[in-house]
Amino acid sequence: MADEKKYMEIVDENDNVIKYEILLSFMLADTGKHYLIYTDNTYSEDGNLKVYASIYSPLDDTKMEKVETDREWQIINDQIQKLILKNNKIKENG
Amino acid sequence: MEKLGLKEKANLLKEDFDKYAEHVSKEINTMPDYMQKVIKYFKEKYPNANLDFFHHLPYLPNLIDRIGKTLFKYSCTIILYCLDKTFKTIELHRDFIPKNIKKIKLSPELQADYLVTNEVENANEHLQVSINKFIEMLHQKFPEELLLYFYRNIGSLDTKITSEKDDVNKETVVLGSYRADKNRMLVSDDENEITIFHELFHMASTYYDFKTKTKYSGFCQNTIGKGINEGYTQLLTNRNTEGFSYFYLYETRIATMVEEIVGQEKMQKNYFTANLKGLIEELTKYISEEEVMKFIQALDFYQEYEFETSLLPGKSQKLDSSKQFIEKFLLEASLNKLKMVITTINLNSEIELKDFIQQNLQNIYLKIDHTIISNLDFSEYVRQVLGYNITISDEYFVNVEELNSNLNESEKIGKGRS
Repeated sequence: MADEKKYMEIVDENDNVIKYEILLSFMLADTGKHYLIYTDNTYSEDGNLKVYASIYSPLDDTKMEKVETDREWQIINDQIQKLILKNNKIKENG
Repeated sequence: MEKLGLKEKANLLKEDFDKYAEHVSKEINTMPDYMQKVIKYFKEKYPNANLDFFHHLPYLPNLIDRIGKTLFKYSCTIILYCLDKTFKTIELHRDFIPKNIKKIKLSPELQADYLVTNEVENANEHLQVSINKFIEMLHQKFPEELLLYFYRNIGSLDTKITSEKDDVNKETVVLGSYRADKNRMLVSDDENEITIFHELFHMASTYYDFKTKTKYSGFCQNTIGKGINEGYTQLLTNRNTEGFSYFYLYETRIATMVEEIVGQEKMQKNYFTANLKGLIEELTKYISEEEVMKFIQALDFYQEYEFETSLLPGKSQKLDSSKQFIEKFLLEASLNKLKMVITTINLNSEIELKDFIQQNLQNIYLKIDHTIISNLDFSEYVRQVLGYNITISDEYFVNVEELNSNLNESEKIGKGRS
């Protein structure tokens, strides 16, 4: 049975609420940082799902940080690729 | 080719793919590059094939996983949540970051992944109160980047409260213990906060590798480093609880001296990330690695046998010699560190420098065990390492007689001074 969808709502200074669906969340052992990979379920002109990645701090619900290093981006890319492969395999089998 | 079903296509390509994949895996370092190269190869070789099916090749994820473990050398990635959703292609927007955030709200299920739950399995009210206090203290006193293992373990921490009659037949419990493989804390039913905090510090600094069955706990890796680990765990406990503990008195004193040599920030970082190797590297800046390893082993030996009342002569002698070695090691490392600091420090006058050296020597002198290192020994060590003659008064006051008296030209003070 699929997981209950997990999402995040960001309330901005004007009290506008934007909802994002969380695709993946993970933590890196050496940096100690938490990463969220999420989407607003919109699509680019090429028909690709728009996906974003940020650093999230569990103890501070007022900020998200940009991913800065190439190494972190590489890991994020790898995780996304694995996610695509895994989920497409589930569809084939299921 | 277009008429073939998925399985047929897969079988046809499998042999071809395997050969190519093996070859390419030796050259490629990243998953995305690897995927691109493999897809490009097959598009060129089979121009009429619909390669959308490519992602459905059943063996492909397994192969990538297998290769991936050796290819992609980044550290442990802990997956917290992964959505079961099918999508074909995505576009990752690197520059995007939500702006003007007033508040971030996570869905309850996601919140549960992140929020440290204060409710610990099987904890009674008394224990739960202590656990809550510990969690609050940890967040106040230590930076978040040190709390990775705490976050991993606290959510699934199991506690067991034992009474005396349980101890005899089951796990050996003195007053408390923490089992890394089960992530379980055992305490006796009337145990005080000091013991609970001590075990919780173990929990917050432990990673257990189930594949290799290796315990990394503070400065202890399996059984190596137990002495220094218990000492530092107790030191942290003493600093963050009220009351006084008689446990690990000796090891705590030793850990205090090691912390002075290494520095508190580095000591805490290596402790909470269960990095014994890091601690060894820090100490090796001031004394040889061989001596550092002997020190760790000597302290382990001492910690294991210090309360044994019926030791055979050989072991008893080894206990004494371990204690002596430990004391001399710490003295030498402390003096070597001071020597390094002196050669780089920038002070305005010789009087200031003399005061600085005197103060530091005084500090070291007061911390050592004088039943092992006599005043004469101490003076001799200072003369050999730093080149100063010192006297020690009846009031344990260390006086540096004269600067530069026994140093070689190249070691004279003032190298770092303008």
